[in-house]
Amino acid sequence: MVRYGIHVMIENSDVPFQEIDECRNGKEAVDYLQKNRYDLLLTDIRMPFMDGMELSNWIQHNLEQDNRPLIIAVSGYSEFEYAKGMLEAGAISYILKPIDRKEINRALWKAEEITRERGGDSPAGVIGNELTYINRKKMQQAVDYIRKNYDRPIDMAEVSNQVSMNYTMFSSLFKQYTGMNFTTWLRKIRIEKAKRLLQNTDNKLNEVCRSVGFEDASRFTKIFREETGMTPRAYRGKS
Amino acid sequence: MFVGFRRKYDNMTLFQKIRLSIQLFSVFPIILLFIFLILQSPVRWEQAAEEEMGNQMMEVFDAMVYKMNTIELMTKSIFSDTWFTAEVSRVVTDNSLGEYERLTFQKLTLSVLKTVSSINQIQASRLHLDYPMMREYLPYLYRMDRAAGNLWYAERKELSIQGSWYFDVTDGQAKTLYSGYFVGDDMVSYVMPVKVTNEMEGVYEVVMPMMELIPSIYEVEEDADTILIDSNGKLYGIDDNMGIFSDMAELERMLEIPSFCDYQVDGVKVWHIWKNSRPLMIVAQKHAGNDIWLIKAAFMDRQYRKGITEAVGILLVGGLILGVLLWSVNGIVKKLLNDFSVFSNCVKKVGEGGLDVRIPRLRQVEINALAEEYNGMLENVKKLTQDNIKREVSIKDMQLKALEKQIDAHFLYNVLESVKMMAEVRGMFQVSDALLALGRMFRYNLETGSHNVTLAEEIVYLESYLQLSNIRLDYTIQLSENIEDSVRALKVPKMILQPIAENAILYGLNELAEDTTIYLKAYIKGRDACIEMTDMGRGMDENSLDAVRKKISKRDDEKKGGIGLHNIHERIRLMYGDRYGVRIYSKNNCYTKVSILISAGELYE
Repeated sequence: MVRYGIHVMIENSDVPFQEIDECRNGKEAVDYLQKNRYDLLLTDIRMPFMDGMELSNWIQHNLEQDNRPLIIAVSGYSEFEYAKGMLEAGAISYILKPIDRKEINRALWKAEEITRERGGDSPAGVIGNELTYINRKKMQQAVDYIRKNYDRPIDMAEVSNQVSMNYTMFSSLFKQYTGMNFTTWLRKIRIEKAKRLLQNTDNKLNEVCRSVGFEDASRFTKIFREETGMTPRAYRGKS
Repeated sequence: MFVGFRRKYDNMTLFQKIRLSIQLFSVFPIILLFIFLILQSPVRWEQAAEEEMGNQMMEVFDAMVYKMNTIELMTKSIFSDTWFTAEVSRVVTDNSLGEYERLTFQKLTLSVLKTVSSINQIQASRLHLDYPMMREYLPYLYRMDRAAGNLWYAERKELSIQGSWYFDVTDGQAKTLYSGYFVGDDMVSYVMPVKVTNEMEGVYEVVMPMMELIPSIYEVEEDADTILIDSNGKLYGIDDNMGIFSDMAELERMLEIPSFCDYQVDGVKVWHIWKNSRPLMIVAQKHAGNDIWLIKAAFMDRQYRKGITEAVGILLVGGLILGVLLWSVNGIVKKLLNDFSVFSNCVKKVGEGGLDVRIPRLRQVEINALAEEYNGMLENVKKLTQDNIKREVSIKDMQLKALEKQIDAHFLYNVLESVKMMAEVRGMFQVSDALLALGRMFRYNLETGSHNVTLAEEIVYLESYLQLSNIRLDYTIQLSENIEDSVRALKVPKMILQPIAENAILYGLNELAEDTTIYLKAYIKGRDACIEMTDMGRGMDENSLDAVRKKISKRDDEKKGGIGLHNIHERIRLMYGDRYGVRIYSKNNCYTKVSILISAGELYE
């Protein structure tokens, strides 16, 4: 669950990434790292088989400087020893659970900046999974599903489940198909609907925001303004 | 009386007891010794004087006896010569002898007797013959009747053949009885019966001054007198100035002897008596052959005084020695036992609560050994105490850690994380944020490491609390912070801000139930740090404010309500001092302000 949540958070941070891979424990991570070159590693400390510290040390000892990913540590341990240990092992950030989305945002953007300065390729475009015919079909299905269920608090897991795909793959495919994150796409749909409701009905703002799937009026207002450049009230007044 | 003494003894200190014992035991023999010496003293001088006088007496006696023997021997040898006696009888009986023969006889024969008279001081050496009408040959040969007035004349027929000594023979005798020489007083003569022939008997007499025979009796001595008692009991040589005694009877009375003449003694006999309250010593020796006594009586005043002085001197010296002994025993025992008092003083100090007191190096080996053991023991006690404390602490620590484990913070965090993610991915950011705040509160409460946190951490806790409150309450509480970044690092006790906010909500804001702001201000002033939280709530009237103020500074421990303003106040006072604590200000229907004053610690400039 947490990995999924982090995946979503990474997406929502709008940090330009190419691919997100997930591992269940330190040992798996080592396998992945040996096969591919990654720019960033987010790791917990307490993990079976190989914990975060050991993993970091492995990276330091076994990967060339250029091939090493940046490390962000996420942990329930607030003890200073662990933080110190991870930072000494090369982590650029140490985040406590439960994860503050603002904090992880900051850390991700910091990583992006460092990677850019390092001279890494700016991920232009999406590489990886190709949009096969079947995939395309699935994506369309997903889009339709979203269109039908936007008023509920749906998430990527639900939709990807609907189209029988694991969310990692779904995530990258969706991005290829629509050109944006799932969250962003969902938001856009919702705002569109909200606009229509504002124009065509007299429903109160609260009702409008709830009926398009926002939980909270202030949040709705904020996002509406981000997307359209004006407050919902103003928009309503316009038309 | 013994009981009292016993009790007194029991109450004495060890020092006193030891001192007393040593003094008694060392003094006792010395006292005995001195008593002995003192008593011996008069005895000794008495004996010394006795011995001296005895020796003197014996010397004088022996000299006398020697002289007497010499004369006796000479006399006997002369008259054992039969030629001499034959010649004498021939010349005396033969009337027809010529003048020339008689002269020869006088000059040659009788001159044998000269040998005796030539001895120094011998006055006369004469032979008295009992032959009537005999011609006298002076100065040696005389008719018996010439000696008619002599002392010994009456007894001349009964004289012992050994001869006898007669004293004071010239007493009453005409001085010129024997012509040819002068005869003085105080003479002694030795007479011996002579048998010239069966028909002719005589008496030979040697006369000498008594002073020659026994010079001592005529000597004038201070406080002493030598006398002679002859066979008739007559006393010679009495020094009247002495006034010791005047006659035999008195002497016998003084010495408690019935009769001197019959008194038998071997060698020298000594008497000590008191005459006229003066000590008198009498030494007597008897010449058995002649029944004559030589007696010396001497007043022993001087010796007696000397003896007394000696005794007193001994007493004083003894006293002095005793005093020195007692004083030095006292000093030595005190010094030796000094260690005991040092020891007991240190023990007392330890008893008063100083585990760090150690006994210094002591002088006496055994006590020092004991002291070292004691020090070692104290060291052990101290170490054990410290170990005990450490153990207690670590046990408590362990218990806390176990408690922590029970709550299993990580499980909590992970659960919260998962739930939060569930909300997050669905874009339910309110829920997600609330769960974040909840997680932060949990983390704050579960980390029991130190009792101090930074102000920043405390504020995070307050923020989390308010965030969650806002979900619960109908109205929203904003937190306005007016705090410099440097102050955020200030170390503050745990749980001082949130309880105040809780109070504010409960008493100040709930009834108003409208959106409001809580203002938080913190600054450093000199050595102190001040944190102020103000709410724009109901406020309190003066009575209520007073009551609350009393409650805050109340002394006794209240059982109810662990975290309240009183609790915060007490904790701050305990940690920082009486000067610090919590103050509350309020204006009715306006505001309530709680001000916390603590020490700025390392942050003050």
